[in-house]
Amino acid sequence: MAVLQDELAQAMVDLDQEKVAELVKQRLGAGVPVLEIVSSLQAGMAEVGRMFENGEYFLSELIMAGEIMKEVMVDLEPHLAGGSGEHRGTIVIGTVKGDVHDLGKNIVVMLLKGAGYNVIDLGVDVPKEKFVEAVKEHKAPLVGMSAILTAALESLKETVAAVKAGVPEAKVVIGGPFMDEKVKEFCGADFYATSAGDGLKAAEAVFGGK
Amino acid sequence: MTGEKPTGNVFKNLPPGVCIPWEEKLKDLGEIKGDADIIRNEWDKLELFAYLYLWYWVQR
Amino acid sequence: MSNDKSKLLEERKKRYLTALDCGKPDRVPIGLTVSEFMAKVAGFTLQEIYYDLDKNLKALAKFVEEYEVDTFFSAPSLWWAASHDAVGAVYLKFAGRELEPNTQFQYVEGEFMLPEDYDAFIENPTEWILTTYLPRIHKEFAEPGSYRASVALIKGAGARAMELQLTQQGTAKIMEEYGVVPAGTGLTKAPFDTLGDALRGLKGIMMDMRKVPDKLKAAMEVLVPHNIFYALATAGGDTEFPAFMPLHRGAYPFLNPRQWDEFYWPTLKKVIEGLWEKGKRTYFFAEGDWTPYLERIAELPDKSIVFHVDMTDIDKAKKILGGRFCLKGNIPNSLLAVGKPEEVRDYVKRLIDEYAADGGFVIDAAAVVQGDAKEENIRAVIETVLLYGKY
Repeated sequence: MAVLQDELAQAMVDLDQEKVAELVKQRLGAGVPVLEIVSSLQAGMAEVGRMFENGEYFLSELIMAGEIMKEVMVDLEPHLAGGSGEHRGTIVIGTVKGDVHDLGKNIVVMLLKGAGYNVIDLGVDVPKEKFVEAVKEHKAPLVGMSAILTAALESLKETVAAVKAGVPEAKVVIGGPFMDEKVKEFCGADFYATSAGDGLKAAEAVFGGK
Repeated sequence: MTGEKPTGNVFKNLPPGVCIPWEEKLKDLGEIKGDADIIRNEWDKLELFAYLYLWYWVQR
Repeated sequence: MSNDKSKLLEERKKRYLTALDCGKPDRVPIGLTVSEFMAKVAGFTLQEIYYDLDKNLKALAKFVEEYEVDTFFSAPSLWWAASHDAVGAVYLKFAGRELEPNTQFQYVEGEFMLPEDYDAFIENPTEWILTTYLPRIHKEFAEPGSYRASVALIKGAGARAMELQLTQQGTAKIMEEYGVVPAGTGLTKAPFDTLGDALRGLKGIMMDMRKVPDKLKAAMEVLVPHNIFYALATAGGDTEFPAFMPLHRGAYPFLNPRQWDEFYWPTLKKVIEGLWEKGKRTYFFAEGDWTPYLERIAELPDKSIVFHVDMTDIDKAKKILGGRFCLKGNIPNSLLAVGKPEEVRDYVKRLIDEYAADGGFVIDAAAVVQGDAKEENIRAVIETVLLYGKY
């Protein structure tokens, strides 16, 4: 079994879409529990994420891996009721109001999921009230807010303030290409991320390393 | 998405700036009684406008 | 044109073009690439500048009147929202329509060209755009030949003609009245970006590199002459000023080095070299980080580009490209938005001392300046250059 699992995870790492689809189909047919299949895929994704962090893989590989995952999940999701329930912690994430860019956010989501976190993705152009609501509902210790447009800076600041007011114990990581120490201070966030790896590090800081 | 599968092109390998080649238009015009260059110059200006209009939606 | 203004215009043109030629003008040129910020200066909402062509141009006039810049980029809005409404364009959201009146416009990325479109595109892209692509991106043009589609086509083309004429007249007037020169004339793209931005989308083109690499390459080759032509035609034939080329997916870390060499660079290089052969320089607006590719970019003919430094390592850019290509940039936009004028002053002074000292440098922000920049910080940029930027 271990070898087989490796094979699926490895096919994911190799970005071999056909092989991934074939193996998933095979295993479903053979009665392998869906969660086991998903965890093989996640192990592959985690490795893809690690390779991205190391500079061995680039966004093109990460996007490809995400697409392969998305396609096989279409077949797997109906079998997944409720999810595994086991994860390293819950993170609420979204692109703040006034900005609809989702590339950076989606990459972080992919890496966080791959690393075993439970990610609640609110999407793009998310009003601050929705962030607060979701953090309360899911009792998330960490919130990720993404913004690509510098024009969304005020909105980012307001969203951080709203979350801090509503759930003072929640930590906030802001992510986007223009983030730096100054912007972090300006917004009142706890961490800033200019790459997906920084986002992972913020999560490890909050939830503890592996 | 409403655009159906590509229907195939009427023209092939047209150069930049051209939507309907002058040679094609000439067939329609038949015999030109005056100065063909005058007609062609103005034709080309509007060809260029149509071309730039179409590509405007791609080079954005 | 008054004598004063025409003298000023000549002075600024000489200053800017000398820097683009890697020379030392009388002082470092100020070429701020400013967009939505101008609406703020003029007191207009973003809806007003997106929808009202007249106000859009007025905002530019107000900006160059109040801020002593050498070049202008364009009016704050690159698009006339009304022309997009007329055709029902689905890929842009504008303030005042589906967004709050003071929200920045937004792109909605989509896969508007499908993998099966490649053959028709390669055979004749111009025709494919009209017959297949426009019906997908223009809701009003969804059924070509129908009443609504015909009206949309009339309006769309008419709107474009009106917009072009007004913009040309408006910018000519701004040059005359304020003596500022255009930072560039004409627009074009890297063939990879033409396909990746508006046609296949990011995911689509990433998949194509693996699944249909030959078709992708063939399509990019087909684009080379079109992209050269488009730059010259949209510049109205001008070759004095560079053609603006916003560069997207070639930034690190989108593509792996092999993909960059194989897919991104060859046709981009051809477009730049093709333009340079016609005497037209390219304004290489390198959004994001281009540090790993500087050596390849240095293969281009001397002076054929102005390299815009956004998040690229400016030390390396200076070392590898400096002296052969003019550099432009790179005041961080976050500094302009949340920094203090003293910090801006220090940053600009450092740029002048370390990177502009031997010429071939234009002061600019790292990315396009949006509404978040503080007016006192933009003033600080200009004051610092006027104070320390003399050669």
